Amino acid sequence: MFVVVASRTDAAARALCERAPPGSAQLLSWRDLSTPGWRYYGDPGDGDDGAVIADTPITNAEITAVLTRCPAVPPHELGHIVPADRSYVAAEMTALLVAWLTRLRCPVFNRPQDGCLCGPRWPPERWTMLASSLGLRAVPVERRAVPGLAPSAPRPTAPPGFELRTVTVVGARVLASTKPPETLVDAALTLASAAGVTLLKTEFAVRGSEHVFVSAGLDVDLAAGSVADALLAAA
Amino acid sequence: MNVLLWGLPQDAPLATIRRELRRAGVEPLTIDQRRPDQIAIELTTAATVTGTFKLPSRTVAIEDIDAAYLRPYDAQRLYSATTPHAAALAEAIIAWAGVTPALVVNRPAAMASNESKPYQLELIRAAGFAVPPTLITTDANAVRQFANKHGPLIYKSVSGVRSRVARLSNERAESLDDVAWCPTQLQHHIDGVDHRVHVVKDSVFATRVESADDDYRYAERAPTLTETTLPSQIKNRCIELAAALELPLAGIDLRVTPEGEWYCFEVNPSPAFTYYESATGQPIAAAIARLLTGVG
Repeated sequence: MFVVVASRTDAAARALCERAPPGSAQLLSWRDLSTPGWRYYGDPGDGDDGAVIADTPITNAEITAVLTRCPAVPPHELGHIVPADRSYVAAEMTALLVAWLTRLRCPVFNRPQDGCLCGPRWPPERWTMLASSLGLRAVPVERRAVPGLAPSAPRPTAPPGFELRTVTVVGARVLASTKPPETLVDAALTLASAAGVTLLKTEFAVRGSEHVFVSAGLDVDLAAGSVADALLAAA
Repeated sequence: MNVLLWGLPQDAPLATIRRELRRAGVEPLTIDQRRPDQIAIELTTAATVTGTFKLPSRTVAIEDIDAAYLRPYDAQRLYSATTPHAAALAEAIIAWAGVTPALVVNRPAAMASNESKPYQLELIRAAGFAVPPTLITTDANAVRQFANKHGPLIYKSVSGVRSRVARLSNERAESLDDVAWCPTQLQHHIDGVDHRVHVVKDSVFATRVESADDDYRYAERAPTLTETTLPSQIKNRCIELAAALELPLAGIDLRVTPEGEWYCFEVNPSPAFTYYESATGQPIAAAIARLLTGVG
């Protein structure tokens, strides 16, 4: 089974499950985490881990791949929990998922990092510095927090004369609206590998044979059929 | 020498470190979390990070900051820290802390392992420590089977949210079906004596904590804290564990059984070390100050 860990408002995640062969992809609902059947043993010798997906008990071995779409379980989506307890229960559920997703042996797009379920939720500065350390030219990130002035959210943009291109890494594949040059493919894959992720949206400013790193993030567009198909093929 | 402090000035660990820094002749740059309106930050990041921190006392170039001790409180609990500027300031500090070459005690990313106890426990095990048999479950039957195998159990939070460690009593066991609502962490109760070990890079300060309660932090009678010396193998393992977790400062919770076996439960990335220092006289704050100033 291909499991998708996503908010119930994530229409793209639901559409991905519907795109897969019937019954082969399921959305993990937060209600599943309030259902008998979850077992995570610190020592595998104590028993087999188990989960509940779409209200059905399942073993880890039956899971062929996982896509994680949210950084944590959102408290406001735990309507089945009394309001006063939602923040705590959400934190507990997230903590279990971090350990469970880290341990799974199947492909996970992306494994938890730094407490975030869907991979490294880094600020732009960290991505830019990583890109620079890999030898990529990068657009500097400017950030400002000054009393009395509107905070400036760091949003690097393409330099004048350059065209912004989105390149998505899905496992070993690199997808874009038009075929990207090999140097761009290599840059995207190198960045994803260095960040420890298998699913990554990158933006590069391109002019001829030149390219400059602009940004990277986990907000991959699932509506792009090629991305969805690549994910399902990995399962 | 420029050392940055971020948090609440009245917070005991932060206040103590500030005092030790001043004693060492270093006036730290203090970002008071309650007064974000006094602080401005501008950052430019590419291959390096540059910019300025503007504080009431002075303005300092980002690249001139040598070290930082970060101990922020949950901003949602600080009225004055929920403005857009306060939020932007916090994000800027965290972004800077993730990319600066300065020593940061501790980097936010490194602290995250504590937010999932079972995840962190695997890292502790990988470092060579014995850990208690552990189950996280929504399944009451799994709890009963686990108890049948391992005997007396305790339960506590799975996440970094603080909880009181409690025994699974017969009375509490009657409500076991309630675990279905929320993943619950249970562990075999390890009988023994608690030790809190503060690691400051290569320095180790061990405190023996004697208490009749399952969780000495909530004991009705105050526990007895005494300075102690760890076996060298355990001491070195603590240093290696803190380094593996990329925590220049760590509070490691151990327990030694009557048979002399050492178990590790958790690594606290932002330890309230002053409680132990006050009781034992161990110079933990001074060690942290030396670490921040590059002297030790």
